[in-house]
Amino acid sequence: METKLFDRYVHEVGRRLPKKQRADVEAELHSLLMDALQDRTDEGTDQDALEATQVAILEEFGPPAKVAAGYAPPHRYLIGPRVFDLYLLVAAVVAGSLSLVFLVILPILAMLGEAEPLSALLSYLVGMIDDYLGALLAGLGSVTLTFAILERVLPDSALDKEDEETWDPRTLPEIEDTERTRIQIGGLIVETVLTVIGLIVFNFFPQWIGIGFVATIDDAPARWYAIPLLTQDFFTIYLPLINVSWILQIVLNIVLLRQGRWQLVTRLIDVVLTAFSAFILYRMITGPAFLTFEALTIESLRQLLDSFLPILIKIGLVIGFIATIGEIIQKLYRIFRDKLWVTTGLSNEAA
Amino acid sequence: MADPTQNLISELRRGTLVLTVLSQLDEEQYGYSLMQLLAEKGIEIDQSTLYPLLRRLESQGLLESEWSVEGSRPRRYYVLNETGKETLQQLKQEWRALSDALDHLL
Repeated sequence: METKLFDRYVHEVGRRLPKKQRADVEAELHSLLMDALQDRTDEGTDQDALEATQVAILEEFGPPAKVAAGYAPPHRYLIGPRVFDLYLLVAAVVAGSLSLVFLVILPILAMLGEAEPLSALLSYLVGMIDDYLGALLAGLGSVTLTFAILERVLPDSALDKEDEETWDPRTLPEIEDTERTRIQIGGLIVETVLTVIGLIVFNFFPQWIGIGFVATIDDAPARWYAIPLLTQDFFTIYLPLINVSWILQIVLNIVLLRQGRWQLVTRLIDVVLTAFSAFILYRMITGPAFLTFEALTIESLRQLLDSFLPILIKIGLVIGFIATIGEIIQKLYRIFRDKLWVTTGLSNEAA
Repeated sequence: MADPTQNLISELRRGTLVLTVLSQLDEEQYGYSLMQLLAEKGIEIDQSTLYPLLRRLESQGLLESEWSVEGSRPRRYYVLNETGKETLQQLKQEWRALSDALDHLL
């Protein structure tokens, strides 16, 4: 007996449930659907009638979001099952980013940069742990508060926009489509963490971006010097654009992680975001300089860097620009190759 | 816009749902058989309401359930446990008292 429609329905309900109860509810739901089907058909029922009966049964059950919501007690949690998986993910991204910055990057910079006595270095590291715990508490607290508010403010239908009146079981996505449009969870998480780190560093610690070297100046002991390289134009012209691009990318990644698969809308937004990145690169190539070596005090080094580094960077940007254009073409090709407007459509975005 | 009277009727019925379901689970039933049993007795409950309700009653400690592979496919059977039986008795008493009081009012 061909019951792929039931399989697709159960899959759609299951993916909205917390992992802990998913398999069990899926098994029971499938069994219940089969009971209803068996009750209304017999061995002689042809395939068309069988499918029509499945559609009728699923219409009685209602949209997957409604059934999934029924299995979750409403508003008895600080953060309910609807968004709990996503909450864990975002909390992990925030905690991971802060840990990387405070426990890895900053200590390495401190050890490389400070020629202070060991006691001073240890004192600095202890202070950093204090800062880390404070930042961790503030970061995770903000995430938790945001999700707790979302849990109470979002209507039940906010994350699943299926309309019970117009929902048609025949529009359920194929499980194969789900596989084909599956997102790369690991890649997205890594990208999100790196983007968050980039945002933090460029906006709050711009002094870290520069040339680092160990030198002996004026008979002083050899020590680590970090020379800021970014111009004021970078912060007033380019950084706001970069911030917008990165924040939108983080939002897109979170939406993708929430939906669990690519859809036509998200593919198109991804193309637009990539095009925006290309625009920023183009502006950086053609606009005011974003690097300066004014802060460089060692004259010879300055002359050396001034002569070839800007050229090298511009060459890098041109290569980056060409690669980004290639990426846009590749993403558009995927949309046409997978015929995403047929398999996902614009109307069942939340399905 | 939904008919307000219909909404009130739905709300009234919703309030009796737990008592209705518990009253039929002194013997093991799986979801679909329970729905049919209730339908035979004149109580129509949406499947999307009934099945999650069984889970919730189980998580509240009123029902026990287990998978059985007897029959054409595996099915999850639910039955009242001791707490469920006691709760059912209390709900029955409450219902009768409420029903009598309402009869006087109406």
